Amino acid sequence: MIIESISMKDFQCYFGGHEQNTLNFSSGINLIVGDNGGGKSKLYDAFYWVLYDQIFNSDKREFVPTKNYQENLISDKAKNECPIGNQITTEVVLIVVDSRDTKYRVTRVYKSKKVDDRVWLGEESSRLLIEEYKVTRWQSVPGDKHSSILERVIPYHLKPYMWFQGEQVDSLMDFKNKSALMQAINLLSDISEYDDLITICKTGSDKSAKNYANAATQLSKNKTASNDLTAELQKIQKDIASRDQSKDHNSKAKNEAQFNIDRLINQIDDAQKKSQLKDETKVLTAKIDADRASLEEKLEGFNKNMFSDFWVLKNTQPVFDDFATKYQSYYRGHTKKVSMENAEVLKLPINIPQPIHVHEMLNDESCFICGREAKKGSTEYIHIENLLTRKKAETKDIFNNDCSSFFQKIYDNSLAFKHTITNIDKNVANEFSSVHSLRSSIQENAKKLKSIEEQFEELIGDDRSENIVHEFKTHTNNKDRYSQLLVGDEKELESLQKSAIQCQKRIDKLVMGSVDLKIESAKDIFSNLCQIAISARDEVFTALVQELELSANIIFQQMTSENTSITGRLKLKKLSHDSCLPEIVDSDGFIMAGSNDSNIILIKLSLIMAVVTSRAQWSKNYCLISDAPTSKMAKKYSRGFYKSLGENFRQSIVMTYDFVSEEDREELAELEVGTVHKIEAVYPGGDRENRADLYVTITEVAQ
Amino acid sequence: MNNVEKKIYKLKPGYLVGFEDLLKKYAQFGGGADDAKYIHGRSFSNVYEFYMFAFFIGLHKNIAMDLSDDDSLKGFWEMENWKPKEMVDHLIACALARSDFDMLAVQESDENGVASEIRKLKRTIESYANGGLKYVSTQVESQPTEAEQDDFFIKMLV
Repeated sequence: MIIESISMKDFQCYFGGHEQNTLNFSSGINLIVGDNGGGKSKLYDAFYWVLYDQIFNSDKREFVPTKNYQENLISDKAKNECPIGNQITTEVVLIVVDSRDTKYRVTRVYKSKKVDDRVWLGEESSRLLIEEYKVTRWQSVPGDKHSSILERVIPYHLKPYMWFQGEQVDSLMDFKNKSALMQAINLLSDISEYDDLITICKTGSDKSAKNYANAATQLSKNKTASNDLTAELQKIQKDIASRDQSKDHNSKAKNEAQFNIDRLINQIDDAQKKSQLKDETKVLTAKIDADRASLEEKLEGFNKNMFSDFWVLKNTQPVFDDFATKYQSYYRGHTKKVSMENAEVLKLPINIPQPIHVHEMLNDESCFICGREAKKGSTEYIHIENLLTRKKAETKDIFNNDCSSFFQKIYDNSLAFKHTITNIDKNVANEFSSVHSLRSSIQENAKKLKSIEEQFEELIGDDRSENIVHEFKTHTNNKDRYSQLLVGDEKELESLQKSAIQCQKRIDKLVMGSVDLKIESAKDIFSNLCQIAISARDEVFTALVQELELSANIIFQQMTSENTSITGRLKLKKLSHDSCLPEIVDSDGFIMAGSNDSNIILIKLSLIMAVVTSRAQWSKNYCLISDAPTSKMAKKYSRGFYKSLGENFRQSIVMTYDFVSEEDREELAELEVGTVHKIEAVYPGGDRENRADLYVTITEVAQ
Repeated sequence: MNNVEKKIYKLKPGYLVGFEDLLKKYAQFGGGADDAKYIHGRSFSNVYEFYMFAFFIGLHKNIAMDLSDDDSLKGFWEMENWKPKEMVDHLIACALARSDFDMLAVQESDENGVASEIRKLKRTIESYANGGLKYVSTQVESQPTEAEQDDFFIKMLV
């Protein structure tokens, strides 16, 4: 069916009655253009809700039934303006026309009552009303005919390919996923009947093989041995089946790894360079951080060192020298006074030299100070000996405050600083030099970092270098691993098959006479039938994939014909049983360099279109509805998509942010465009967070 | 410890009240671990550190402030509590060198005489320390940006 119009009343952001929220469509491409947040996706929801009674919950990324969505279906502005106690109704009306020009009006209604400011009492479910236009008026269609009419608007099995959002394209056409490819193949063919045939043949083959084995056992000269061998053969066959499965799995995994290696190989050079630069960045950043920490510590340490390393005493040596002079004078005066008091002049203080040295002089019979000989008993010897017997002068009564110990302590303390003070200059200089080195190092490394950043910018592509290198390594390892496993599988299979043949030979040797010909023939026939069914199914499947590939290539060529940057053709590379990978290859069949996300989406959209434009020509009978199909596509590629859409579909309705500006809409002249509606979200209060103040304006614009 | 020594260590040299803001800006008043104090961004972990620094700067630059009894000086903590002890003793040695303190006479003086000598020492310490504070204050005013740097004080010694 072709869609003539859609209108909404207080549905989601579409506040107001049907007269404000109606969009009329014609054949060709019908565009609904608007910025993000303008209401495009809600319009897509309206199409979906009126037919399927479900709405897409963007938070949960899933379709939910009306009973779970309830008053959320209704415009917030309408709910806000609704007085407590009143009921509010939301409606979506779709008018469709079938190939015999019969017009149907499909209306879905949901009601809810406002009980309190935020409390709503809604109906459990929505109500569907379908009317047929007869001559001059709409006439209600009985409920039992509803589903068949809805199925004619868009057949359920086609829905995934005819009604989709841009973000679903990837998963819809993920042919690595066996079920996605089979879903498309099933749509295009009766291949499931071949699967049924294979099942029947297998059952027959198993049964006839069993009958044959039983018959052979009956004729055996050693039934026990035959039974054992039959059991052994069954076990071997079971192992063969299991090993076959393993081989299939490993083969698929190896092919996938190879595909990913091919895909990444073009990006790896840049990625390796980037990864290397990142490693350098990491090292440099760590060095800068460490240098900064050391610098900070050193700078903070400057103040600490003034006291812990006595740097503050740096210039005090001359003052201390003055103190030493003053102390010397004091000491002389002090000693003189003490000596006078004791009527004895002590040239040397008591215990100077220390007694231990005096004893050594006596033992050595010489004076260590003047070097003269002092033989035992000589005057010199006695003079030295007297040094030991001197008595300490009694000083305590001489002074009111004897400060000699205190002053000596002060003097000794300062004297001990002499070496420290001498080295302060050197230490401070070293520290300043160290700070200077750190600052230079930080500056130099920061410069290197900047240079790396510049090199980064020169390397095109998004920054996933580490992932790419890592991914590449992983796939390479996987490929090696699965290749080895495959070799193991093949060797084991060969050995198992040999064992099976030998086992069968040993069983046959035990047979006395001949097995009934019918039984033997049945076994052979079913076995052959099985092979025939499997290969026939394989051929049909391969032919269908080729047909799909061919159709998709025609559309892919249409889409890319005006874009010289995309060359090559689409190839569905067989991975293993019932799974394929879509890729772009050159004329020699090699995967093309630079296949980016945009190209992949183009391929997938080509495949979608190939499915619906195939033999059944669904594209001529049904409307394609898509929300932001070009969302993952570079702008320069989207033009080809719209061109192909116009050429292949009788009607399409596309919600998009392409062509929002008048300048962009000039390009539409070359496309088969039906209508263009511009939708805009309006917040009269200016607060874009306030959805209770939101309505949408719909304007049909000139192309 | 004799009377003179005791009295010297009990000294509480003062600073001119006008320097209080300067001291508070660069020195931590009150307790707390040293590391924490430096983290708070103050250059000196105690007032006595700043005071000793000011003394030695005054000495180095030969700026002795002429103080009189009319000047309002504020003492903060007895010298016996200042650290490191060796530095305090060195400060005393330097102050003895630069003052008229009579090392011989003080030994024979009575209480008044001792007090008089010790006053001389205290005044010498205060004179250089406040001279140093004045110098620091001038540097801060003339180089406000440099004054925020960690090496601001060490550079005064160089």
